[in-house]
Parts: sequence; structure tokens; C-alpha cells
Amino acid sequence: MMEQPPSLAQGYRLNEPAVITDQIDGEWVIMNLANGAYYGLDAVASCLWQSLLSGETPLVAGRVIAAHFEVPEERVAADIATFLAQLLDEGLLIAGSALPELVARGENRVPAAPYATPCITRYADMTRLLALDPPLPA
Amino acid sequence: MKDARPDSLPSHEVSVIVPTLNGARFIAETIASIVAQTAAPGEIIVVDDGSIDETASVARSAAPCVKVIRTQGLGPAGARNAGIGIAIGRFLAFLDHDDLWVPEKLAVQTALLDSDPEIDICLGMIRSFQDGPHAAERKWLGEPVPGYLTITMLARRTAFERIGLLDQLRPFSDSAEWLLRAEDAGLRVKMLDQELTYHRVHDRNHSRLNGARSRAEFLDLARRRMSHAPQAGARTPQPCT
Repeated sequence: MMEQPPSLAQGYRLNEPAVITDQIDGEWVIMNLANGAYYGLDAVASCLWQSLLSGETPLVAGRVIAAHFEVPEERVAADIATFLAQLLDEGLLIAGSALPELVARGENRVPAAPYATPCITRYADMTRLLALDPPLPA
Repeated sequence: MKDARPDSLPSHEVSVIVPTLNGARFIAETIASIVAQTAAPGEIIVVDDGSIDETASVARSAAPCVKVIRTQGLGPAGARNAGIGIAIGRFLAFLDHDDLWVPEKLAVQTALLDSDPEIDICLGMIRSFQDGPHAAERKWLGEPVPGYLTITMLARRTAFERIGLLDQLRPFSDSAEWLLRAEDAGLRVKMLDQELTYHRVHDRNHSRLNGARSRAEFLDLARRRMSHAPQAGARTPQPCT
């Protein structure tokens, strides 16, 4: 576990090349090729994920979310800190600026549903299967 | 394949399927590693999926018992399926045109499946290597890893009859998708802690030449897994709290 809460004021980027992600049929999927784990995101988490990939800081992304759902910024910031810590613990993001080719990836749809704490779900049923394929990007 | 051994040996009920596309460079050595098995298979089927090189003639020359069938552009999974369609063995094994088996591979796996009728699919460890300038200068790449791949597999034909063929539309993730489907259906899969297959890394590897497509296919497989209700024991979702 991380000893210090992650900074919400700095940018983060995908932990490439080990981590790949894409939006398939409107749903974000994240996969860590290093260990075969893959992840799904709920509506608010998907919105945040897209924002972080496109270079927004968690702080800015949180303000947008808070304004959209009309919930206190402090609550959203606390939720994002937890969510971000999970992403960093799982090795999906690392500190740094977004890579240019990721900025325009996916369609960012702010969910219409009421605000809910962003949630990431980890799946481990493919961890054994990724010994050789797919290959890491060169 | 005829030899002096009695036909009742379980290895004689193994059909080995070798999908290939322009594999003339390596396929003779691959077939040699099948022929060199200490427990000989009943048949070797090479599925030539549209080669424009001498793959078919090299394969036939490698061993007189080799059957070569021709398909056109089915992809690796489709070629394997075509091989399954004509195979007569009670057990099915697969080897890609550039990979190799250790001589004991079929003996170990047929002995296991023959002795334990509860096991449907047997897999083994795999190790990658790279050719040097001379055959004796091969370089090992990393340690052996569990090979959840068709090329390490010996499966009962009944496994395919129960859960269906490989997904032809998944040229890169067909092994993973089929094995997940098998486990979801309750088939028993045994991974042997024994190095049975050698995977050759070279400049024309299918998945490396198409790395982005391969990764996209695995992402798509993951999404499909997510969109179905979790199967008991098949996955371990850990939602945040």
C-alpha cells in the first residue's frame, strides 16, 4: 500500500507498455500484460479514466464531476484519491504527462446516472493465460 | 504412422495437427520433433493455409506419413479446426510450424490421459528460444512458463465435441478463449510442471508481426468475460469497497 496519498494536482499516464486499455462497445477495459489481470470500470470511474488518460489532473477531473453531479468537491476529491491510489497500486497508471496518442482515445461520456463512488473491478481468471501472448509492444 | 509398436498404445490414438502458412523455413524440424516422439502418434496432419512457398513439399518430404491438406486463409485457429475435422485420433495435439516438442511430450501426456479418465486436457510448460547463426547456438529466452496454448496441449476429442471448436475469428487468442470455455464448462485441465514444448521466437512470428491486433483481441476477450455473469470458480472479481 502507498504510504502517502497520491497527489491530485499532477498528471498521470498509462503505465505503458505493460498496460493496455481501450473502449470497446462503449465500455473501458484495462489489461496488465505483465500479470494478466484485467479491469472494468463503472460509469463514474470510466469518466475519470478517460479524463486522466487525456491529460487532466485528478483535481480538475474531480471538479468537473462535482459540478456535473452537483455533489461537494470535497467528497469527489476524497473518492478520487481512493480511486487513484487503487490505479497506482495496481500499476495501471504512473505519474507523468499523458502520451499524445492517448489523448483522443475513446469517447468521454459523462454518466447520466446519479453520482456514485468510482469503482474498479479486477478480474484474475486470465492471469495464467498470458505467458507468451499477447506480446508487449516493442 | 506405422511402426513396430502395438496399435493399442494410447499414443497411436493421437492425431497431431500442424497449421502452417509459408512455413517452409522451419516445418521440417517441427515435423522431425513429432516423428522423434518416444511414443509415436497415429497421424500427422499439416494444414497448409495458403502457402506460396514450398511448405507442402517440405512437409511431405520430412516424413512419408505426413498428410497435407490445403485451406485458404482460414487463419491459425481455422486451420486447426480443419485439421480436427479430418483427424481420426481419440486424442488431439497441435504444434505450430516453427515450434518444437521434447521427445517425451506425447508419452507423458498420453500416459496421464490414459490413466486418469477424469482429465480432459493436459498442458505443459513451454520455453522460448531464438536461433543463433548455427543450430547449436540456440539461445534460451527466460525460464519455462506454463503454456496455456494449443501447442502444449493434448486434449481428448470429446473435449472439442462438448465445447466446440476453436474460435476461428480469434487468430491470436483462440487458445485462451477455448481453455476458458473449457473450464467454464467444467472440463478438467491439468498443467504438468514439465517442460514439453519449445517456442521459437523469430522475425516472422505471427503474433509479433501483428502485436497490436493480438493485444486488441485479448482486450476484447477480457471485455466479453466481464460482460457475462461470473462463473463459479472461474474468476475472482475484487470490486473496490
